Amino acid sequence: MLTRKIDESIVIGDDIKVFIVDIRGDQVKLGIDAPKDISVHRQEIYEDIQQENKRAALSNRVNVDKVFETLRKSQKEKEIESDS
Amino acid sequence: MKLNTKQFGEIEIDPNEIIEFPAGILGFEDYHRYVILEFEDSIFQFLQSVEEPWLSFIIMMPELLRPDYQVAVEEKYVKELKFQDASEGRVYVIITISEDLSDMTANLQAPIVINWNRRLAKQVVLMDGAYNTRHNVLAEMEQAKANNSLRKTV
Repeated sequence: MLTRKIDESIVIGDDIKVFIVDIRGDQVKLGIDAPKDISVHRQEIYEDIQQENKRAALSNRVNVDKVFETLRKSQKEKEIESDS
Repeated sequence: MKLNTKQFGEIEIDPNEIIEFPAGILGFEDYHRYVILEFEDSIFQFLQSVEEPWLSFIIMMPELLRPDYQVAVEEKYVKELKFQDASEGRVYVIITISEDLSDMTANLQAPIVINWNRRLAKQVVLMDGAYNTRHNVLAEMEQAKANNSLRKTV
């Protein structure tokens, strides 16, 4: 664990720099310098996406036929025809 | 080659169609190889793991929900997916289904970006705040249809 004050920074590896921009109450503003090929994200967003992927994964759902019956292309085309 | 799948049993696939996800899919980082199964009459496709029969995702093309859907091509993706030209790219979004089909949602915030020529892909996280992980598919399609009709009458 490292303790830093405002304007102090941390270097990770050779290329990633994290610095404390501002501290107000329980909010810390961080600045991050990283090479363009490295992604930087808020953890909760990453977790949200992981969660959603897990919900989406068809590990135990068998009822895919129903989904495929809905929204069939041919149905959709008929709708478009009748609209024009 | 033969591929065992939970949804479709044993199927035949062309090994050249296998798509490599070097970083895997978020939450499934241990699985790197998938194929896309298309169905003639469906707007949905299947992203089927080649490594694990039970692992598959329903996917669809995001333009069907948002005709203006675009993934900003950032330098890190260009390098990672070895893009030489935008025309090599294909984007799909993952669908979450539930018992009530009207609840189907699409994750527009984390699309699957594929370099179709190189068979390389990645799940990309869009940070611009325009999308979230659960857009109602039927509602979005209705909206897209309505917008399209408006355009026609104008």
